[in-house]
Amino acid sequence: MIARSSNFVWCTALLCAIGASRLPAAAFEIGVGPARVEVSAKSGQRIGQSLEISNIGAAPTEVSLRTLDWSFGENGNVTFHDELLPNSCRTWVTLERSNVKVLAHEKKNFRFQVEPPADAVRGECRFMIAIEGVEPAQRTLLGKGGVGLNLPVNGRIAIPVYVQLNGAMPKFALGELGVHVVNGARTPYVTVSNQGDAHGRLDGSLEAVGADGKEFELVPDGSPVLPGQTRQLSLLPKNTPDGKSVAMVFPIRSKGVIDWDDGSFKINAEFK
Amino acid sequence: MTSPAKSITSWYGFAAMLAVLASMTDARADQTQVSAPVGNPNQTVSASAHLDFVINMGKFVFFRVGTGAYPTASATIDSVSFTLQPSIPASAATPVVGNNQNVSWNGTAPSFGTSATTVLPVEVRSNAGTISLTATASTLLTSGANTIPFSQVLVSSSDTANLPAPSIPNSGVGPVVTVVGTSFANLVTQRAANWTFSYSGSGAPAAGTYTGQITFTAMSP
Repeated sequence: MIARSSNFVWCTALLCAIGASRLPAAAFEIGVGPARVEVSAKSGQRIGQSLEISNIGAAPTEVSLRTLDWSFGENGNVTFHDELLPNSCRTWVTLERSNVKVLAHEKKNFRFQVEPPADAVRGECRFMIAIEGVEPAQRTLLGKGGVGLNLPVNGRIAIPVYVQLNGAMPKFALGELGVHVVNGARTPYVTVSNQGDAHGRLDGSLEAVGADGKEFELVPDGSPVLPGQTRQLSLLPKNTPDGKSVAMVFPIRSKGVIDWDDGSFKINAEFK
Repeated sequence: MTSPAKSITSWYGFAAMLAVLASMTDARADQTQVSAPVGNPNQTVSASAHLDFVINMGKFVFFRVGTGAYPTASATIDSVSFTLQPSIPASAATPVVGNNQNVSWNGTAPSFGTSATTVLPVEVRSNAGTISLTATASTLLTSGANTIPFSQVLVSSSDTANLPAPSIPNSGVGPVVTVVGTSFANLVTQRAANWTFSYSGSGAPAAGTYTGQITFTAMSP
C-alpha cells in the first residue's frame, strides 16, 4: 500500500511539474524574403547576399540561422542534412551571425557571403539557410493511461541558395508526355531531363481544350530539375480570371510553348 | 484560437503584405522642355513626359506555427492549456469536484491523463511557387531509457486537400507534402488550417513522461 501511495504521489508530482514548468510559447510567425536565392559567381570571387526576416508576432522572437545540405529527389522529396555531404560547398559560406532577435512587428536584414575558392570548378553550389525559432512555437501535451507526451513543436523556414559557378547552366531535353495521378486527380505531365551542370525550371503556359469544349491554360510545375535528373513535371490548370478552379475533362488537346532558362519546347499533344 | 476561416483574410490584406515585402518600387522619369518662340512669347506651349514604372516584386515565404492572424498583427501569445484528468480504478471513475464526494477505489494507483488531442494552427503564404512542408523529428520521444516511436503521434489537417499535415517520421526528415497554390497559376499560396495531434497509445510503453521535439519546415525549392 505504501508503494502504491508513493507511486501515486510520484505520478501526480511529475505531471504537475510538467505543467508548472511550461512557460508561454510564442507562435512562430516569420516571413522571409527572398524565398530562394539564385546567383552567378566566379571562382575566387566573393558574393554577398541578404535576407529580410520579418516577425509578424506580438512578441520579440529569436531565430537561429545555420546552413544545411539538402538533397532533392526526382519525385520532389526533400531531405535535409546537418552533416556535410560529399562535395558540399557550405564551407564557402559565412553567415553574419548564428542568432537574430527580431522585435514584434519588425524586420531585420541578415547578410551572408559565399566565397568559392580560386580552384573551384564550373558547377552549381547548393545549400540551404535554415531559419528556426529558438523557442518552441507550441508545447503539445498528450497523454493516455500512464503515459504523457511532451512535444515542443517548432517552425522553420528553409531558404535554398543556388550559386551557378563559372557559367554553369541547365540543358533541358524533353521526354515523354502523359497523364499521372497527383493527390488523387489525373494530371497531364511532361518529362524533362537536365543534361547541364546547373538546375533549371520550366515556365510559360499551354493553351488547352478539354473534352467538354472548355478552354483553359496549363502551366508547368516550376519546381527545379537538378543536373542529371529526369523529372515528370505536372501541367496544372490555371484558375479562371475570376479565380475559379478548372475541372479538367479528358482527353485534353494542348499546344503552345514551354520555356526553360535557355530555350523552349513546342508542345502539340493530346493527353488521354 | 483563431479559426482558419477567420485567419484567412481578404486579398486586400494579401496585397498589403506583398507591398511590404516587395522590393522598392522604381519610377523613372522622362524630361521634356518646350519654350515659346522668342518672336511670340505668348504662344501657348505644351509638353508631355513619360513616367515608366518598374515594380520588382520579391519572392517571399511566410510560415506560421501557432495561433496568429496574419496579416493583422498578432496579439496572441500561445500558452499551454491542459487539464489533468484523474481516473480512479477499478471503475475508472472521474472524481466529482467538491468536498466529501465518495468514489470507490480498489487501491491501485490512479492515473492522470491529459487531453487526447491538441490543435496546432498553421498558415503558409508565399508568392514563390510550390511550397513544400516536412516534419523532422529533432529529438526522439524518450523517458529515461524508454522510447516511443514517433509513428504513434498522428497529425491530421482540417484542410487535407490544400494544406496537408506532413507525417512525423520516427527519426530524421519525413516525406514532403505540397501546399496547393491558390492563384496566379499556383505561384501564389495562401492557406491556413488546424493540424490536430493525437496519440495512438498502442503497445504498452512504460509509464512516464516522454519528451521529443518536432520541427515543421516550409520551403520553396
